[in-house]
Amino acid sequence: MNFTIHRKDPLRLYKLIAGNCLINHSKVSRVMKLTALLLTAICLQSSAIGYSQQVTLSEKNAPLKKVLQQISKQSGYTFFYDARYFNDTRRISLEVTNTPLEKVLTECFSGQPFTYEVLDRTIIVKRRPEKNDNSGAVLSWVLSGKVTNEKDEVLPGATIKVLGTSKGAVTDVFGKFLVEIGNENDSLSVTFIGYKTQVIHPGAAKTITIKLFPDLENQKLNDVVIVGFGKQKKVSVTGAVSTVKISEVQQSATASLSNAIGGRLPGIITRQSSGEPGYDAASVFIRGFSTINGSRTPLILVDGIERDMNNINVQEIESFSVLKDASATAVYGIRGANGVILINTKRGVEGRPKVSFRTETARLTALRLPEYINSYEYGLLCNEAMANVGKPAFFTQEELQKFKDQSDPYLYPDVDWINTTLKKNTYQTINNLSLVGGNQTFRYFTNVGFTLVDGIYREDPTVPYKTNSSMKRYNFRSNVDVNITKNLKMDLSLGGIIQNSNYPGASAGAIFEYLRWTPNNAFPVKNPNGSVPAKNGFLNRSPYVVSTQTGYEKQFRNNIQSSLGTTWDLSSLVTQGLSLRGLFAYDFYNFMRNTRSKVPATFQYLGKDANGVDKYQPIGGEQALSYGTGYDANRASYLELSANYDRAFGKHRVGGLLLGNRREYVNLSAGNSIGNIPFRRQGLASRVTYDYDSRYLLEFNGGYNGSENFPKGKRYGFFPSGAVGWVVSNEDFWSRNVVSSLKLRGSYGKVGNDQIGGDRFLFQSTINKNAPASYLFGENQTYQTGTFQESLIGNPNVTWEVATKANVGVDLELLNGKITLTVDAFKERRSGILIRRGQIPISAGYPGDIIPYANLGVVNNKGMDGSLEIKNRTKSGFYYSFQANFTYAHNIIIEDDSPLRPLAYQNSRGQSIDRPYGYEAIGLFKDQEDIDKSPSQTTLQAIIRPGDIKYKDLNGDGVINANDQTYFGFPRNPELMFGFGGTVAWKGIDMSIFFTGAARTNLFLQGRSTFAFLDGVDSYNVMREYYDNRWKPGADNTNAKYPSVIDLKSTNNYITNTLYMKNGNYLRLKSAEIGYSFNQALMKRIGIASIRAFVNGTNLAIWDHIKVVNPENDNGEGTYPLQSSINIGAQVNF
Amino acid sequence: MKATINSLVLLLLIMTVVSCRKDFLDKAPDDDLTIEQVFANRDYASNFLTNVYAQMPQEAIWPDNAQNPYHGAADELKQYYPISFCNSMTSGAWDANSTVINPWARNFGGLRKANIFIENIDKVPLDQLYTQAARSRQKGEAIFLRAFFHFLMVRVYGPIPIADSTLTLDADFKALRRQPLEKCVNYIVSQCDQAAALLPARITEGTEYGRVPRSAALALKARVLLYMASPLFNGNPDYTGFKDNEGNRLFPDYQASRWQVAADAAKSCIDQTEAAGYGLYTAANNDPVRNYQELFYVNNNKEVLFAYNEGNYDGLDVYSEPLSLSGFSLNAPTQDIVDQYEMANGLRPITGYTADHSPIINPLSGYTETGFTDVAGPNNLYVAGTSNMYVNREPRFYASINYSGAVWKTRTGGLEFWFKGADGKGVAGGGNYSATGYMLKKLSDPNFVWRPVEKTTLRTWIFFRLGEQYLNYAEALNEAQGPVPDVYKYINLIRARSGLPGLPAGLSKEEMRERVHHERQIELAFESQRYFDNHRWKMSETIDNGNIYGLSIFLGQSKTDPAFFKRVPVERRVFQKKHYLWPMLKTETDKNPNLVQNPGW
Repeated sequence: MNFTIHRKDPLRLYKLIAGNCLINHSKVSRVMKLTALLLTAICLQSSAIGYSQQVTLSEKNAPLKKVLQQISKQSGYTFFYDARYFNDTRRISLEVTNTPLEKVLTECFSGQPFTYEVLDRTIIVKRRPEKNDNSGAVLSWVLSGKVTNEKDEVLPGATIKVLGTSKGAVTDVFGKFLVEIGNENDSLSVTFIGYKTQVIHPGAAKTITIKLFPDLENQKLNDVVIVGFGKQKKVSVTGAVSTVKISEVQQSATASLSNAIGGRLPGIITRQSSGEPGYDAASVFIRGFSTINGSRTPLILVDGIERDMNNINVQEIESFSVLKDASATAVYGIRGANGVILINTKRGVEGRPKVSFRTETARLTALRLPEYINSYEYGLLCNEAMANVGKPAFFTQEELQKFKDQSDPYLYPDVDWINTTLKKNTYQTINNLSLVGGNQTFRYFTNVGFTLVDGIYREDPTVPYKTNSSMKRYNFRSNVDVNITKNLKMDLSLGGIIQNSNYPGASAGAIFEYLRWTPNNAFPVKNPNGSVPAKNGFLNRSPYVVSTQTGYEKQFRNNIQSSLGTTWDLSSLVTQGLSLRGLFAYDFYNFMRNTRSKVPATFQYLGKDANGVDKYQPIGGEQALSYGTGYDANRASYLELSANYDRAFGKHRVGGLLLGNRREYVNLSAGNSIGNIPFRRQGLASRVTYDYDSRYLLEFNGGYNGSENFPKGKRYGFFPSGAVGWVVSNEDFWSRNVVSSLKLRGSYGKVGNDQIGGDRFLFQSTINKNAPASYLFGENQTYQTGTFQESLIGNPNVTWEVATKANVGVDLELLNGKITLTVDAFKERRSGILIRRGQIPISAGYPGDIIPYANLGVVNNKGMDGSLEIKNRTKSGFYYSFQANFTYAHNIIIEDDSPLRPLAYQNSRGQSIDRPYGYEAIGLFKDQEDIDKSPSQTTLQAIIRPGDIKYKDLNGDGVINANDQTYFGFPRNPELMFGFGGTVAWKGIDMSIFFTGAARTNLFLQGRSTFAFLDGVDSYNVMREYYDNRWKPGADNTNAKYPSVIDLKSTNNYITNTLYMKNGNYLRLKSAEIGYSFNQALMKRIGIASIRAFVNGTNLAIWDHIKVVNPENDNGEGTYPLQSSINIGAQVNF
Repeated sequence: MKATINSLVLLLLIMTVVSCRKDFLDKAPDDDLTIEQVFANRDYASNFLTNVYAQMPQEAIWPDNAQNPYHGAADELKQYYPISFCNSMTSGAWDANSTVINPWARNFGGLRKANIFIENIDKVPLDQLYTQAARSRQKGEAIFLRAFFHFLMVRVYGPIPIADSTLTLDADFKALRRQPLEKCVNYIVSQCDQAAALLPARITEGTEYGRVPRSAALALKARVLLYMASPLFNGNPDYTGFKDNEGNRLFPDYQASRWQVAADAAKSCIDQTEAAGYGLYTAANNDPVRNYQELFYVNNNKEVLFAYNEGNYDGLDVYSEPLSLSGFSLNAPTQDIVDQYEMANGLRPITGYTADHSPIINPLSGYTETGFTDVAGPNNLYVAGTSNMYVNREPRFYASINYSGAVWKTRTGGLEFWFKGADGKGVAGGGNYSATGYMLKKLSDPNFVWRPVEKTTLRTWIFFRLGEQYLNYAEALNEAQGPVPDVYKYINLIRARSGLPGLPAGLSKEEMRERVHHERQIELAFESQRYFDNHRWKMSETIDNGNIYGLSIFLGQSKTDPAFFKRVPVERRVFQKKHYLWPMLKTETDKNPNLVQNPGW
């Protein structure tokens, strides 16, 4: 049974139900309308209480229908019946005044093929059994039922049909329905969009509850994908777009979204090099990168507006899409070349208010703090360094013994600075409260969130202020949608982010630098009299002093994000399928910094004098807690106007988009006038899509836009792209038994990048009116006239980079969606890359900083990405899934305007961007004979000794020098990134595990603490990795990994070479989660819709080749470590 | 319907806003200046000139790979700071890819600036405040700086391309070739002559100190001609075959007359500057130690022909300050130069070394290596108990070197460089300590305080001083004419200022040459002269090749522990023939293959 209600306005609806109580048969179209209808019916029922139970009628030979309408009108009762049967009803003549309803009804139905039943205020009209039925035939009855989803939430608007008949019903807002059942053999089909249709046999039951399960396959058909400036049905997408389920992202408890997406979806490569609260965002690249100097970061749009991805609360996110190829990104024109990430926040949905609270608290554990050697070992190494160059021992045996036995811990200390300065564990909590709901005209989503992350610095209890770093973030978001009229919708979105953080007086960089500087034997934590220890020279403080005694800094960040959109459906006014949309957004960011820095008085303890009194030498004087402040503020406004068209004509479906937009970004705290000039961009975007019978897909995209950064006449660029798709599985010849869906896609087009690096307004020659290099005149050296210099020679032709991208992809679905596979291959040629002209010699008078830029560079980038998903729910309700994805991108410099090197292996053309350059190590010199036989390395270091690194003589001239340097290894950002994992769920328990990894990358384990005694013996801290694996004179050095040590910087050993290059591949157990959803019936009794409790962990284990530092580190030195977390939380829905 | 109309109005409004601002992207900076505008305004033009000045090297900055590696690379100093470029130079571990300090870039950059100024300054309109005289003087300053920048490159690279005008971006850069050395030197000389004609004889206004006076141009001319006459440049047989890729010889044959030209230039400089009021500096009380010591921190004294204003730069002091005064203790004079200082009687204490580097002591000098004095030095120079090595040395020694026992600032009990001493290696934090057992005193201002609270003083770096010109003249004249009276006269003036007796009469030309060399080594020590002198005399292969020495800093428990006062090698230095000229960076020769690399690189 289906209904069509012809209505134009609510008034008409009222008539229909209350007046006519007639439901006409015909084809159904809109579930939503039905829901609305039922909603109104309820209202009427409740307001009908005042109606009379008595009826006055005066009819002559009137059709039954008319009489019933009259009765309904007077009594307020609703009739429920199948109008088809009314064709063979007897006409009625009736004359009653104030007669009880029941009597009138009996009169009306006598001699009719119907009987009736009163249920509440509904009168159900039922067919009498056929005449030829057995005498004892059962009359039909009314089944009262309820439809819910798999989570026992009611489903309003589900359609119930009695199979083999035309009878049926639609559920009301409570999910309830009434339907007439003819006999016990009747079966019902229950359908609801997005859910699997169920056929049930209610038998003789009078009430029933039907539970529907989501129809994942069908859902997919209707799945939409967020694409540039709009949405597309997933089936008709032809560009390369990948998405990730937000629930997967949520499994990593992190304050920065960029740390949770690496390896989660194909096309993204990330690297997180720091774990410092507030500064832990990973670098994100889409399909690697293709530019040398220009910005490599993708365009990130939150709700269609350029915003930072890392301060959006994960709980606020509805969808996360990555646009990868030219087809998907061309609409962004000069901003699309590095790929685009689209993040949409959640919006309200119709339904009663749902409150949801999620809280999680994690214990964070610092991963891979560097391990340094103890004082005794340090002393031995000092002596070894001296001995290696024939100098006397640095420490006496007596002193070494004191380091070893710690009998004099103030003069011969052995302080483990890492454990003194850093805590092993710290805590983080993330809490979110959201409210979602609405009705047909008004919908809302609100979320408030609170995040607190604590840092790893230990504090000094005697210091009265907090020195440990910590970050508190308050998120607020409210998204409201209003249907002003049936054709006009408005959406208002507001987001607020308040981030307050605290840091020690020194930066993380400085603290970790002091950790690399300060050997265990340098000084005690505190002097015997409690004063702050130091020595002369650069070892003027300990890392503990730097992190606890140098004051603190407070940072305050406030971010307001607002947007107002209006969508106007012109279907009825102009043509079906046409709509207009306007969007205005305004964001404001403000950053304040209050620095209270302090310099403690420091003393060197010199032991006891002849009288046994402690001797101290003052080193540095005290400077009281000072005050400094800094600020940063910017605002961005965005305006967009678009026309959308989407309409089907039989098997043809046509879509179109024409959009104009404009953005202005102003750095309000710019340090110079040029920085303060607004960054502006405006342009048009257009898209035309054509779909024939969901088989053949065509798409054209074009972006035409420009930025203020280019000279007049060269500002605007047109970036077209085209894509085709063929849904092979929709062809008649295709059997969908095994391969249920197969789509082939291809796209080709151009996209631009206006973030070309270098200064702004490169077309202008400029004079720096405040040149950094200055000169003082006068006896008092105070008289300065100001200093002007050429700051840049302009290039009047400067323009954007152009990426020409090709993409082919296949989307495959097997076994009715149990297995899905998507693979894309891409090729990109980035041309017009802005680089400083590389062939102008310095002797022409153009030192590096004024040489003009030109769009000369060319880079090719190609690769593949793909994802695989297997998922199934067994009949018993056991659910399992497995996902995997990978991204591979490899770039090659085609042109970089570098001078042609005489030696081919030194030519940067043909190399990957950022590929390491240096010497090829071929081991360590075994002995003097080995040195004598080998090519001379005295250009690198005057005296080469056994244990020094031996290099390959690439040009074979018998001398190792600059001509023997070459490219090797992989760049620091990986070329391959992957992730895989799975979920199992049964009853209330669900478990997930996810691994990510990267490959084709190298890391150099180098720096102060690996290059022992870089500034001379007893200078810097030494990593155990070096100490344990160094070449030792007289020892068995077959397994030695590192060169021997000398008493100062080894210019032979401490240059970039392959010996320190480590394989940066890693596999990480990125996250694992166990959740339990409590029994719903039980919960309901205490007023809770559902509770899910979970434990998850992030960065739980790692397998790699580096072992010493985080393999995502920038280099091989200890920096603020990444954190591993164990996170416990619960989500409660009310 | 009303809402529909409202929204229509709203949308139309938005469209109007979008379409009406056609100049939305016309937002290029309008407050910026063009070169034409700079040279339409006398103040802007002089601001531009200031920046040409800023291009001069800051030679007061020694470590950290700034612009002056020349002390640590000579036999006078060990700078114990491993990343300093001078340490790569002295170990021979540098090549065309690793010249960290790059005079090439700095000076060619400066030359473009100077050329822009010279080419445009005549466009600046004259008025009452900006007269033709003022314009000429500014032009003279820029012309001097153009000469100076060329000189700063010639002294390390030899022949260079001459940058006498600006090049546009479409110029053929491969046409830039190295010019024969003599042409380069002649160009510098011609620029000095031009500048001298435009510049004032002496700075008189207090606000103008730091500007280029005529004396700078005269002094530069004399110095570059002295270099040109010296063995490295004048007919150096090693470079006879050094040609560019078109076959042009870059070094000239020997011409004896170059010495006379150099002598004339120095004499002219001395005469003209003395006529303008310059003279050798002497302290108020004419104390020979103070005469010499104050010369370097009393700014703009009458001996200074041209100096760089360093402002409150504290590096000259901090890097030389001993550990007990919280200094960085980087600038360590070598035992080699300590041995060169004469005795108070003008005799050399040490005349040579045996094979095991034991000193050959001149018995007539009164010098002794062993034992410790019982009495404090005159004028409280050193404390009782100081090693006899430091007793009765010439005044310039006491003005230049801090040694164990020396009284310095608040260290009235004497400095302690032995291992366990307050300034010794034993108390150092990290790699900062005197590598030789000495610390540089010359150039330091005794009024400067570093820790606990810094008290800075204004500093200058002397590029040219009259004393140098005396020695330039003496050297060139001796080479040209032999030890004629003027040679004696000017050397003895220098010695007399520091309380030393005059040179013995009757020296041969060769003996006099040795005396001049020695006098320059002491008098001009730590003034960026020794490195270039050793080079131009072609003596670096012997002097800067092999061990340099210091005291046994890893030994010594007390003031009188003889273990400390023993010579030990501090560093084995490497100097090969190619090191006489620096390599041009490989990146530069790759860009322009017509720039032929210097021999050996």
